Amino acid sequence: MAHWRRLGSIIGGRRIIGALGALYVIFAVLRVFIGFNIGEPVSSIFIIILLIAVPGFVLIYGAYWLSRGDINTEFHADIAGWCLVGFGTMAGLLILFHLQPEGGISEPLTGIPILTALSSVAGLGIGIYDGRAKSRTRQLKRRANQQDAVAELGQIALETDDLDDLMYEAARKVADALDNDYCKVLDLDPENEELLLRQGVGWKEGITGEATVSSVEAASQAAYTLANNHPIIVEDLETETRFSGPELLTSHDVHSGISTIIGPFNEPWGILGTHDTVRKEFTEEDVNFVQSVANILAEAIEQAEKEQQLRERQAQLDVATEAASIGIWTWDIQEDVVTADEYLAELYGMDPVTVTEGASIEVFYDQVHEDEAEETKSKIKRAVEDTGELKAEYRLKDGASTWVEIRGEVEYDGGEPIRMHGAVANITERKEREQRLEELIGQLKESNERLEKFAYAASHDLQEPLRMVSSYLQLIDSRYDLDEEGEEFLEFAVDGADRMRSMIDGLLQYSRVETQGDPLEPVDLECILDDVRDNLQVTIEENSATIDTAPLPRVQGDPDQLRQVFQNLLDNAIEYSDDQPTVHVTAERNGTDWIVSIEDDGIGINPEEQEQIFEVFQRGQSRSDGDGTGIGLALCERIIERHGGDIWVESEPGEGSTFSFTLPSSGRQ
Amino acid sequence: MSENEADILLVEDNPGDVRLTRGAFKDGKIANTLHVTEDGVEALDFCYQRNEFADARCPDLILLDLNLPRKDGEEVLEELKADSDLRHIPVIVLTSSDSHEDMVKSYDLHANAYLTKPVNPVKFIETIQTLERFWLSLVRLPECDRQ
Repeated sequence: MAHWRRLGSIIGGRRIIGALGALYVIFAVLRVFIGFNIGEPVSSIFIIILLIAVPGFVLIYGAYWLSRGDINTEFHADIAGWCLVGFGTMAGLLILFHLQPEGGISEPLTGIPILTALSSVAGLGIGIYDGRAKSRTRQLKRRANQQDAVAELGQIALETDDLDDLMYEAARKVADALDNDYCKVLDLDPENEELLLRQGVGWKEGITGEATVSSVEAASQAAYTLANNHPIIVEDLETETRFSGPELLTSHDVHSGISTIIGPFNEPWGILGTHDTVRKEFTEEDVNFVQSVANILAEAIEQAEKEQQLRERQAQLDVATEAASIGIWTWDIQEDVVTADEYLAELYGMDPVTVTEGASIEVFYDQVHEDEAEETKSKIKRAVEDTGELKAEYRLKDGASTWVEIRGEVEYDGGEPIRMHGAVANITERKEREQRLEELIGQLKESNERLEKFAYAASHDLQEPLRMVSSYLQLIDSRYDLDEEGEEFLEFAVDGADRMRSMIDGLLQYSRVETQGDPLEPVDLECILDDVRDNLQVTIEENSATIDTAPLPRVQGDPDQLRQVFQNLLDNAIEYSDDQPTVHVTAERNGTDWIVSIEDDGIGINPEEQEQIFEVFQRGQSRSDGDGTGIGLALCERIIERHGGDIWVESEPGEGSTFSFTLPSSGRQ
Repeated sequence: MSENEADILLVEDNPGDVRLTRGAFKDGKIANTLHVTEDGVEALDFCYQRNEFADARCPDLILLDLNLPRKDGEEVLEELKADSDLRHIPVIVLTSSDSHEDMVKSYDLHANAYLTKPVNPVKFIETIQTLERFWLSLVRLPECDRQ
């Protein structure tokens, strides 16, 4: 049997069977030809043909069938062996029978071929049965091997954190399980359009990690696989038409192989390929096996990338928290264990080991300054039981000079607080800045109040002596008979005293804008303007002035103070105008504010004076009558400022002036 | 009112006003004596007949300036109105202040009237004489207990 098999494997099992069948057919044809010539009956010729030619055809068909059947080629020689054994056994028996003294085959040229042909067919039958059984066993074993390889690789993937190690193991196991010479893991570099031989087995020394394959379709099997999104099988590279054999494969005399994609199709990581130097067929199971290994690699790679990202994020976070002076902490509420990082330990002046390994929250409460301890505890309690969020500021017990801010978030599981985590930041500098700012604001407020009090007291106290001056000047005027010059002098003195009185009144009003103002309320500017028109009736009539008013809005303001503003501005507009002046009052909306403008056609203001006119005791171009105290516009500015607005003037000397100011809208029209 | 002559206490530190007030009362219809103290402490001493005013008579009317040295008018008003023996004496606040708060504060402290000194001297004199007519002839006042 072994002998036959050797013969079979040298010549080729199918060829032997086919040749044997052909011999019988040829013999049958010759035999018929001879039979006709010697005049044998047709019936016996027909039987001979049936018994020799038909087995011959069966053998030829069997040889053909084997090429397409499910029996491994390896076992074809065995089948041929069985065939020859059948032939040989029958031939031997017949020869023995023929040589025995009593026997002898009557018609050896008919009987021997018939019997050996039939026994050859029987041998073929046994051979096919045997080959099938062996093939199935071989297949099962191979599949078991593959499954073992997949399981082992899965285990390695879980255990190792060295990707290259895993890739090498995978390559080795794939090559072993498929009985291939080569296996390779190719790493895709999309930018350079190439695949790097990352790991592999069977390849020449020193090319692992160096050799590359083009990732452009049609240039290599790997590239073609990437482009087609499914495993690609090559039976013989020499006859392959879909792509060319890359240098890596041809230089290793590769003929056949399987390539599969590692990673998702839309974002492949690379290729897993296995190859052999001989022409080879691969089953669907083989392809599935290689794909399973590729999937294990893909998962391991993804996992490794995730871990790498996590490590990088952690490193970034570490840098950020250190740079921002932030300590990170977590509190396991159920177990009462607080763990934090080294920065927090440093900030709190605690033992880093205690802090990083964890301690009860009480240990951390102990670090809080007693003044804020109770409040901080109750805030944490409230966060856990109610709000889910913590924000608190407190000093540490280190001499009360360090301020920290803590922020945290509670995690719940089915309404039950499980964990709280957050950060602690050193805010000492901010606190100090805030305190300095508050002190400064306090000082400014105080100084402002003192100034207002001073202005009020000064103007209030000035009134008393001034009244004396006025009163006694009038007494002199009424009780004594002065000459013309005396009367003139007295008039100047009285006029001076009167002007001083108006200035003091103005100063008093100016100093009281902030402290004595009413709260701001919705005010109808139309009503305000009507009041002012009444107050100025005499002035308006004396100057034959016209006041032309557009519809005015409601604003948020202090009515008395706004009346003062309108009165001063209208009075100025009439006063600083020639005869029969016309004054326009308009309002336009600007966002949430109103801009009110009072435009006159008077003498105007020189550009260099336009800034100064809002300062106390600064008067516009003096008029012959010398009226005005120089405080009206300063008072207007202060009132508008109290309303959060601005006041300004636009003027062209000789053409007129427009005073505009902004007021907050009352919110409804 | 002893001997049919009214005793008026003027509490005023401004000599100009004292001069004007004195003139107005001198020309007045009702016989009166005008006593003047220049600060709040002296005014109270006068009312309580203390120190140099041990012999002073209880005033029938007090004209009180608010802005005074040592003890200001409001404090004097408060003390007078807190004393059951003195609170019946009418106190007229006569001040140069036209401040609304001063006025409200004075009435809160039970001032009997609040007047702003007119700037015009003629009007000032008229005001004093109106006061005199009203408080010393029209109004009935109780006798001082301490006489």
